[in-house]
Amino acid sequence: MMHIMEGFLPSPWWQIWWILALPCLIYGFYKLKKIMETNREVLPLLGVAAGFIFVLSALKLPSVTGSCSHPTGTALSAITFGPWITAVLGFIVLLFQALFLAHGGLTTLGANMVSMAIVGPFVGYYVYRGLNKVNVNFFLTVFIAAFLCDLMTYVVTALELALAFPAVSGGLLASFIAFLSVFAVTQVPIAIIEGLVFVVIFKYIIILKPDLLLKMKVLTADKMEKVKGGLEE
Amino acid sequence: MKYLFEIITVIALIVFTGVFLYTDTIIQAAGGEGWEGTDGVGSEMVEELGYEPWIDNSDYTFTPPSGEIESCLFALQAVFGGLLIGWIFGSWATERRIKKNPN
Repeated sequence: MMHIMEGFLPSPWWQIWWILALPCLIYGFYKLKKIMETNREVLPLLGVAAGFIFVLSALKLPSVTGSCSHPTGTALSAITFGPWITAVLGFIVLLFQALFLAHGGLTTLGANMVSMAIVGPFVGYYVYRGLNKVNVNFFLTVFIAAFLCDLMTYVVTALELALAFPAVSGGLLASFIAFLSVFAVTQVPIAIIEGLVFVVIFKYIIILKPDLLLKMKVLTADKMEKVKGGLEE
Repeated sequence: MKYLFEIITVIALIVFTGVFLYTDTIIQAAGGEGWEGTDGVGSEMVEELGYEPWIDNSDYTFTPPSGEIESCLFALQAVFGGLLIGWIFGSWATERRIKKNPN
């Protein structure tokens, strides 16, 4: 679980993360409004992307380390709509969980948004675009992007806690490694599963609605033909 | 291989479950409880440093009074997402079928 629980970030850290998160959220709302006005036919895809964040972030999966953690489900949204809009979707889920589930809280919402809804999706989005440019296999690209999108969320959570609570001996680095060993190690198998799940999801979106991915410039027309051709073999 | 990705995913899920069952027997044999959320484990690490959380969710809304109620709310969240996905994928599939076979 990537939530930093309510009250677990002292001043000034919770304010700092809120200040970092807020402009991203506002720009995300602006981007969302623009898509709603100019590009209404992609809205169902946005619904699916939001749906996967709702479903996957509600699951707590047991992992090798003997503790449970959430997938984040942000990869579809990050790859197709970019990190800004994903920030808005992540904000909605995190707000719900903070208000009704006592998972995370209003003061730590800024920090939790930075990890799950901003940095994770940013990494996923740019890794996808980068690998796509150098012509790595499409599905492998989706897998790597989704894997990192999930894993980076937890790396950032560990960093946020380490910054607020540097170890007495060893300082920031020692406590970063300590938190990383709790969050990131548990997350690796879950991130692998999440990557695979998103590969399957992208396969079905390509079969059913390839034009939406073209519209969002996830793939160019020639590449889409190639990927589709590969699926039919 | 038409269903290559599905097969890989299912195999990964089976391995994942197998690892869970194996780890669980070790934890049970050691008499431990295990399977807490990592945020709980992380918070405990912070509390061990002598830190006291300065605000709690119950200060403005509430903390789910029991594990059952928490699961219920999590399930509602997942249901909402599942409905969105199912409805949209369903309409896409129908749209595609009608396009292929207009009768």
